[in-house]
Amino acid sequence: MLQRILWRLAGLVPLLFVISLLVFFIAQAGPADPIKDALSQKMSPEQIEQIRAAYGLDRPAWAQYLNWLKDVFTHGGGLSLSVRSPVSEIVLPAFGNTLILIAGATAATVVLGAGIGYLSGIRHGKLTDRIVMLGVQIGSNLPVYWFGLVVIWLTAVQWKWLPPGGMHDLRGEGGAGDLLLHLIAPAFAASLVSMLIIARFVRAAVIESAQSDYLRTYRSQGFGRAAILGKHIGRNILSPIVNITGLTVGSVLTGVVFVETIFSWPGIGSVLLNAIAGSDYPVIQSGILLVATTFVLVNLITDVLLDLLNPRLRRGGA
Amino acid sequence: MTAVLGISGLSVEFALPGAVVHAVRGAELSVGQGEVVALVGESGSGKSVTAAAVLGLLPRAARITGGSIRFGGTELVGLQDRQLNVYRGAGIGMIFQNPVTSLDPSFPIGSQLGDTARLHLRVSRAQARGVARTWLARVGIQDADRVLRAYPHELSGGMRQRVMIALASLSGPELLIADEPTTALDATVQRQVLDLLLGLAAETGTAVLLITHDFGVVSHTSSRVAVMREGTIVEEGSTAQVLTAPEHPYTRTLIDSVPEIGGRSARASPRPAPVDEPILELRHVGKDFDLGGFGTGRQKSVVRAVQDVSLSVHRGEIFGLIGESGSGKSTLARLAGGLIPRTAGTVAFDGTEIGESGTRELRRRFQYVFQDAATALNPRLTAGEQIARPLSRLGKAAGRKDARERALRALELVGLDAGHAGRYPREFSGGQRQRVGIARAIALEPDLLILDEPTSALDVSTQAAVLRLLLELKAELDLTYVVIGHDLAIIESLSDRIGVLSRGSLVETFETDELFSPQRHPQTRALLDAVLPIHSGRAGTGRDSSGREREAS
Amino acid sequence: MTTATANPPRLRRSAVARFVRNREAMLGLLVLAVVVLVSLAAPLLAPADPTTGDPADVLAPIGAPGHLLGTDAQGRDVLSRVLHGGRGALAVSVSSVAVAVVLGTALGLFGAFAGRRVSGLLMRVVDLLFAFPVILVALSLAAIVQPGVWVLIGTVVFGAVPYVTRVVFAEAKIEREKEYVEAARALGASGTGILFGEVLPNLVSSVVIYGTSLVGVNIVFTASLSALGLGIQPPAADWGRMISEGAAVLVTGNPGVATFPAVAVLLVALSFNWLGDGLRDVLDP
Repeated sequence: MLQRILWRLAGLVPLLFVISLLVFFIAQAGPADPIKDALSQKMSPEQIEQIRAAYGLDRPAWAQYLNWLKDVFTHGGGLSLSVRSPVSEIVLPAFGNTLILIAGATAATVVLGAGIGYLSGIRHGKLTDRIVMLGVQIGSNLPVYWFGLVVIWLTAVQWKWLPPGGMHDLRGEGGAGDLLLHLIAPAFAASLVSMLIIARFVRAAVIESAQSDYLRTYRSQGFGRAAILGKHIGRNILSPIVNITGLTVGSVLTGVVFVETIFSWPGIGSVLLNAIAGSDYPVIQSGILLVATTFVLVNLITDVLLDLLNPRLRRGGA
Repeated sequence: MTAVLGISGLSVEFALPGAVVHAVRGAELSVGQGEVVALVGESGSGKSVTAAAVLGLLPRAARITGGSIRFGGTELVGLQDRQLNVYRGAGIGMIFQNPVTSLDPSFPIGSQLGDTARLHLRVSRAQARGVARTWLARVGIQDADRVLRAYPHELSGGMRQRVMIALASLSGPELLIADEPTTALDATVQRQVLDLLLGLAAETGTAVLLITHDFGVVSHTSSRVAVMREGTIVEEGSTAQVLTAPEHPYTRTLIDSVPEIGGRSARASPRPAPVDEPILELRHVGKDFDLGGFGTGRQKSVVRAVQDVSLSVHRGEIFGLIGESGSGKSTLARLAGGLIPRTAGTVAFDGTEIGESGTRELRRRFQYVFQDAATALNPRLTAGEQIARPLSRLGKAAGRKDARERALRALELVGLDAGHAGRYPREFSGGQRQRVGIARAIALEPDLLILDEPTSALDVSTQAAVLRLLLELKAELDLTYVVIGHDLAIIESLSDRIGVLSRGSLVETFETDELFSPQRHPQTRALLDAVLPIHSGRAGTGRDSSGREREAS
Repeated sequence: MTTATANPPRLRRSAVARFVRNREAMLGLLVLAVVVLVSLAAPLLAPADPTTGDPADVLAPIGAPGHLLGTDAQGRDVLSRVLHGGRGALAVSVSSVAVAVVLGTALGLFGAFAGRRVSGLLMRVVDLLFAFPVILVALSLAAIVQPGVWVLIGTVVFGAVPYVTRVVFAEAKIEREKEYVEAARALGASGTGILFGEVLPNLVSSVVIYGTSLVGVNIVFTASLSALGLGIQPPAADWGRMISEGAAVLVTGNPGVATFPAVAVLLVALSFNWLGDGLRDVLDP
């Protein structure tokens, strides 16, 4: 088991290397000259050359790559070209905010998705199932951006239950409760796509499990419906749920970026979109590298969890 | 005798999209206290549906439309799930066909047995564990402590079915329903499991309703038998009487269709003596499979599927190759024709050594018929196209027209007609599909045909017809056969010589007439002892045919 | 010769009948036909120019004279913009999914028939890409080539290829183990002959089914990307772009500006779903 985990960890190294190369490539392949774009036309060609040298842009690509990598590890990837402050000061707090939103959206995804799927699955073929599945079908074809708008309009404008956006109430002193209140609507909106993916999978898993031979065995022994639905179906769909949750983290993140601007959530999505508009490559690179690395780590954790849940691997697998 | 179970006028319907199928129509059946009753029939006869109906375990699309099922004094038809749960397990235990999928993959055996014990015996968690351990010992499992902690996938098929028997028996039911309990098991294991089941039932006075398609099993286990066909019971009576003097013509056809061990001498057509000229020669052939290794997350290991097999097949003979599942017989068949690369040895066909993969000429002269025609035919091609394509590819047909004509001729040879050429595989019945598979092979006018379990996916009556067809074709087209199988009676009835495979090695080859000779290898004798004959009296010489020992192993 | 048993009924001829009888599939096909025709004929059908607005007539309500669906914050006719707004999205989604389907099928088949190591490595990479946040790809592409149609195409292809590859790989692996492949080998077929002549025909139906649903998914997805500003650029009329431009006025009493294009996206995506489901009933009975 431990050996498996170590193997998986070792597999990360080449992966992260490839990702870092690709991210480095973004600035190399970008059509605009970042220096020329970022600094106004007031400077002479000589001055620009000086700045290029200062940023190391006159050196060969591999040296630039190593230099950039060193920058990333020491102070987060250099100076922002537009704001003139260290990239880490821009990217890290924003990413922290995004992580909060991701956590909320993932929780909504798992709880609501599994709930919807389970409900639909145990009522397979009944009216409840049909209504729920119609809702799922419509929901998964809604543009997330528009869905976010509707959520704001309903929760903040019509019903006035929740704040319309931002992370904290500007007048109050904040606190966890305030943050939570601000989190509900964007987390729900961002989880739309992934939640419904999970709902479909859980429904299919419940139906498959309910029609399985081993469940027939339990039924033939007179186990009550509650015991069968809870313990046995529950345990057998746990692995698929973890697996699919791991797979949907990517789509949760996509959803988060889609709703950040709508809900004025000061996260990495807004930072990256602004950086793209301003050709601020150090920020783009560090931001994307950070998110991609996090994603790879989440993937690793999912794999390990799945290994732990699989009775075939728990013992004598490695 | 008071009836434990009384089924009368039972009807079950399946509502499928666009059609209603009457799976059971007015079935009548009763099981007395402590009695062993066999319910026998071919696939689709409604026997398993009847069994499932008793405990209300029918699939969603099915419902009982009439009749009654009485358990003791209670009517079970019309009861809700909650009310049925009173009888499930406690009154009636059920054992299912497939022990691989019938145990919960996510819980260890001890937990599954323990849950059942706690539900029915109202014991504590610790006591339940004790009950589980006791029962594992009773079903002949030696290392009960390991098995308690094991997950289903860690046990062999036979072990799993023993666990299923323990699971169904530990609540002390009055009736056990066993739905094809040994169909998924090897012959040698089948007998042990059946004897265990009967032994336990006799000990506790439990009645058994045994669903099966195998008259050998009927003969071995039951005192009374009911024969089912298209949803109704066509004949019912004491086992001895039904087997020796069946009244219904269908029962007679079924019994006559089953090849009996030792019945070879009774076969009508004498065969021309094979020419003493080897058409296929295997020398020290071996095959290793690599498992695990890079990218799979498991440690690399090597499985020797076939090791050091040497044998020769003579022109004009039928060579039978028998072995249990995992003995390497199908792998050997594929090695012989170069379908998979071998790791050791040489193969010569008609005097010429063949490379690792076969040549075009070899392909034409060396053909295969596979086990399951449902998957051996490409579902997206018509029968005619399946036969014609290789004819053009291997240069047997001069052009498209010639290929089509040859394909039609081949279809006629196997008893189908030109109208079948335009059909897709799923538009054929199982027997017809196997005929298409045979036509595809013989259209190439091969010399040697390897038949890999050609009838094991078929019902007995269809099986008999296909076997007859194969013998006719052999005489007509001057073919040599290598027949692979797990059923000794079929192999014996077909073959001139028999080779016995066990764990990848060929343990012996012998003339079929010497099957009962006392010099046979222990592995051969084990296969022979595992055969459950229909008529104990007609069994061959030199073997113990008492066949009804009832002690738990 | 012995005569074979009775023939089961023929199934084949009812394929078209099954499709016609499937109400969802027919509805999907109908809606899509209308949408495609309208998109093609938009310049003829639209009552006004979708890109020039009348500053004197901003945010006209639904049903205003000359503006059936009202006008947006720049005074542009919403109906004309909705009629034009599907052209880019449809073209991008259909063409990129087509590219992804071809690439994914090739990769999936290659993976299923390659050696164990190559296939193991390939599928490991594909699994990782499958779960990869495609938004990162969109952002990276936008940084490299500037926001626009190419960002959408690249992102959709990147997102869809692993999906198709996995589907094809899984199915090809099942097919590969079936005896008909072995039978074909025994009947003299070559490796490529088996791949294209025997296995591929058995995969086409699932690829078509998945491809159809993928187009629907990606219409929705590209709409959101365009809404973020990464996709189709103003002033061109585009459903996604219209949603974000209508965002500001959604809460202030003009929900139509953002909602009509959203409903259009929903309807088109649903139609592709229905069509996919219908094809499944017809092709995989």
